[in-house]
Amino acid sequence: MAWRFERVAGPFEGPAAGLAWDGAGMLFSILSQGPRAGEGRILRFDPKLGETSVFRPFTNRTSGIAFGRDGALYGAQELSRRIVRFDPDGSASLLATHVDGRMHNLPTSLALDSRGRVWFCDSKSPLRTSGPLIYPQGDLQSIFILHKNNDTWVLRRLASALDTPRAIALSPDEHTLYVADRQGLHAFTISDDTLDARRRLSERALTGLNVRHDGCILACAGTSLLLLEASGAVRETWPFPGGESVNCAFGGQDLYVTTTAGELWRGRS
Amino acid sequence: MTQKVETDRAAPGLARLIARESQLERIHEGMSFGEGPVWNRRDGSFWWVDIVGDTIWRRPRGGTAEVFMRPSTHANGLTFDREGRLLVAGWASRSVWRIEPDGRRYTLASEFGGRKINSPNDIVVQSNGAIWFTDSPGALYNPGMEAEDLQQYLDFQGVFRIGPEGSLTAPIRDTVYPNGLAFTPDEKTLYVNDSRLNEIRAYDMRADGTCGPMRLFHKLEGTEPGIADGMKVDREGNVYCTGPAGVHVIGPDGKLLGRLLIPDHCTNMAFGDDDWRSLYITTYHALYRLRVGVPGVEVW
Repeated sequence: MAWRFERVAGPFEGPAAGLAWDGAGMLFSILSQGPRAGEGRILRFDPKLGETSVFRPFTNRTSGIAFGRDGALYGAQELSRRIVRFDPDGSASLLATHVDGRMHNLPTSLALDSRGRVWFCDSKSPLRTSGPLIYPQGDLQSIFILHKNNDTWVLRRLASALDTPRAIALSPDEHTLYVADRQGLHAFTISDDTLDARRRLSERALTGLNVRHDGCILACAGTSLLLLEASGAVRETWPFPGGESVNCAFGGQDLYVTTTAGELWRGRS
Repeated sequence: MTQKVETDRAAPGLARLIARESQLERIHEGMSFGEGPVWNRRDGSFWWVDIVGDTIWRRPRGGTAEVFMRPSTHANGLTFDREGRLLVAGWASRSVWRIEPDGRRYTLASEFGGRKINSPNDIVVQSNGAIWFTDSPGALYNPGMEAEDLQQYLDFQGVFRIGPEGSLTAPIRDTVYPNGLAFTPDEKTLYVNDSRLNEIRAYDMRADGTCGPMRLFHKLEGTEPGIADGMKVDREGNVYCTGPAGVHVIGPDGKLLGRLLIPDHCTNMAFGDDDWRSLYITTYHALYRLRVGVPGVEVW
């Protein structure tokens, strides 16, 4: 398969990162940096109109984004060290942030399952987080799950020993969790809400992960995009002309890619 | 615990304000994030908050600290109005409120132009009764002290004024993270510091309650931990502002007179005691007191 790529939005100030398709448009996050980091935004590209609008301002370096079954958008808000829910009424609310009495580190990527649970990974990061530094980052870099117990979000740590994880994705049957960190691409078997049988599928450092309906994994590898079998074998490699890719996702029949240059690209086959 | 105050980068004028033998006295400890110090001239009590600990503390004259309010909406800046009521920059409540004589909370400001304000940080009262407060977005972003609704709705982080008649205006909108604020003794100038830019800005006051354009008054120096946060002015117009390593003392001309090196991360300070010649300093975890040479601008 060959893709014809074109830039459809940007460049914006700060890298572009997470992607989430709302059924008719592609949301993508912009990571502002420096004193005005809070002014990061989530934008929405409308492919019918070819226009980009602000979906949510002031997102404080929210990187990964994903829709839940409740229709709300969830985000990994790195500088605030939390997963937030961008409520449909325009407000934003906090999920749980502490496990074993300690706040987790900076989350980058998340995935929502069919039960409304949030899977995410955190990294120990040199980024300056918001507010006073009274919650030191922990050494563990982990995979977590958030689930709702009545009206209360509960946080659990499922696995650790990761090396700066940047992307997380679920297989279509939700039996496998994929995590990309600096050591490569890892797969975990989900069994009774726990993770086991960790295995490394690839030694390449990947960023964005997106799993197709057929179980193949689409991943960003700098200026290339990879299509991997569920086993990790590379099925196809596609050169990406837009520079350093960050994340990728399908929207309708098209493939969208965000870049470190703050751009949104669209690929058509 | 008492220890000698260490200073550095001292200019000749500092010794008149901070004597070389000055002692720093720790008078309370155990907070997670001390802030909001204020002296109550009416009964000699001293007040401060623990933002993360969600508590307003009160220390009666000659007594020991007691909890005044817990939970406190993660209250931040405190001051008193001209009628002696406690005014609170309500941080996670996204409002400014006061304590009525019967103990009830009364909200003074929570929306601007139909939108929620950000998270009131620090607060000061002018002689005409106008209340000024900084509206940084801290409770929307900072972990551990969050508002219930984390969304910023205003497209600026500025300084608000509640007029004596109760109207809310936004005279300053060009700050990134406005934090401490204080008037010069003649109230002709308002100083506002910015935690992101680590600078102190000066705004000339107009009679109608608006401000002139921003002038850079002072850029804080140092690479040590510490940011522009709390700020107060003494009766001679010297500015005391938290910054790298502790408290920075700046002359009325904007030049650094020296830095007070404070143990622990410094968050704010307030003049107090009956002669207004004690500088109370909050840090993350403790409250300190230091005698100074020039009285501070009084709190109503």
